[in-house]
Amino acid sequence: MKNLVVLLLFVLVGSQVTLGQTPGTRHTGSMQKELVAKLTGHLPLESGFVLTQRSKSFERAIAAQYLEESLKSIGLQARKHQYTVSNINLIVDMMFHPIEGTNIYAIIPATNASDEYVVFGAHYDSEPGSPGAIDNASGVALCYAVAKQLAELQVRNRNFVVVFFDQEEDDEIGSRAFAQWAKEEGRNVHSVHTTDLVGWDNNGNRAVELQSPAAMLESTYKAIAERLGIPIHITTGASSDNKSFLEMGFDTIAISEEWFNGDHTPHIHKPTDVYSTVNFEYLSSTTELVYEVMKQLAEN
Amino acid sequence: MKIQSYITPKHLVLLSFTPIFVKGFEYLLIGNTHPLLVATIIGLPLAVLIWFKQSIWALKIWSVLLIGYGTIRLLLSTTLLFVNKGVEAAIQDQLTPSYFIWTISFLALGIFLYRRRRQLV
Ligand SMILES: [Zn+2]
Repeated sequence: MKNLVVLLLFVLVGSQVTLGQTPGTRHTGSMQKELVAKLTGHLPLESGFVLTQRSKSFERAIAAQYLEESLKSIGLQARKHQYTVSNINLIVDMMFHPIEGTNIYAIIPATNASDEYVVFGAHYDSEPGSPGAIDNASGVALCYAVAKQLAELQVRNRNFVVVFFDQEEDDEIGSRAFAQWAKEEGRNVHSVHTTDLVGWDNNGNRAVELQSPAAMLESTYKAIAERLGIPIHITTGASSDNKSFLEMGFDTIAISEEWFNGDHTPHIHKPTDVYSTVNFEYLSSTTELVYEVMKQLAEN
Repeated sequence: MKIQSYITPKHLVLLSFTPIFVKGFEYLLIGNTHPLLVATIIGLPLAVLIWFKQSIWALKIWSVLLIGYGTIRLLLSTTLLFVNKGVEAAIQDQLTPSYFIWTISFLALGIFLYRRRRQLV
């Protein structure tokens, strides 16, 4: 009898924990925590190296390597997009070498033949002196979880590209190089979704800001957010990697916490932008929003 | 035959033009023609004047340019080392000991060419 009561209690508690979570959310949640922890030095990498920032070229190379392995671990074929570009002007060029960087990306191919690509990504570099937990390990973790779930879908009517951009903190150099490359390759890019700062929600309202969205993306996000009970604020301008794609005429949307609305991390670009400040419930909620949008784009 | 009869001081002066052209080609490889253009506009006439006309005047200009280049690099890089904020990480990254060794070399080369310009050409 006593055993039966204990068993019943277990079942009840267990169902409480899983209630309200979509299948896989709990799994992707722990995955996201590990990713943010390792990118910010909260946990050491497999090699034992502790990444306290992702700013110098050797730190960014280590982070890139880790992201490449992480994508491979979820069955994706991770690739490097290496670029070398000029500095901001001729005078700086005459004083310094060209700038080198590496974007990490993987294609999640369409299951039904398609030449359309939906690109989603986040920058993985951080400001010097900052562990960059919310800016932008949070965005990387979001895209990573979305990529994993997309890859598990049975049907995808479009190709998806998950990309981790280098050097956003240096005038979006990495994403600009990627956008340029996509353009040169003549890829049919359906839309570009960039995430930056998705780990702060002090007022607990789960609200998301969508910056300069293309009209069709705005309506899709709004409809899905409404279904999920997520308030949406539309903002203008270009504050992150979305700038690179907007400038080249791609249909773009940027997803972030309430930056303009005032509910955002106060630790941005500071040594205090650490793992413990990340609101993983908010990250999970925003991940779900982006995933549901991607799923819809995969199905339609 | 002694090696000195092949390598004259003038050869060494000519060698001092290579870094600026190397930089030009470094950028040409990534599709940026401007640094090579600068190298050609500034370096080529001076190199030609020094080589064919033994122009001390051209060597004087070249050495002053090298001193100026070294000085700007030195001032800029030392400032950047102390002013961390707002400087691109990609630039900070390049402020290595080798950057300073090159900078001092340009400065020293400029001063050497300036002081020995009469003996060299
Ligand atoms: Zn950022």
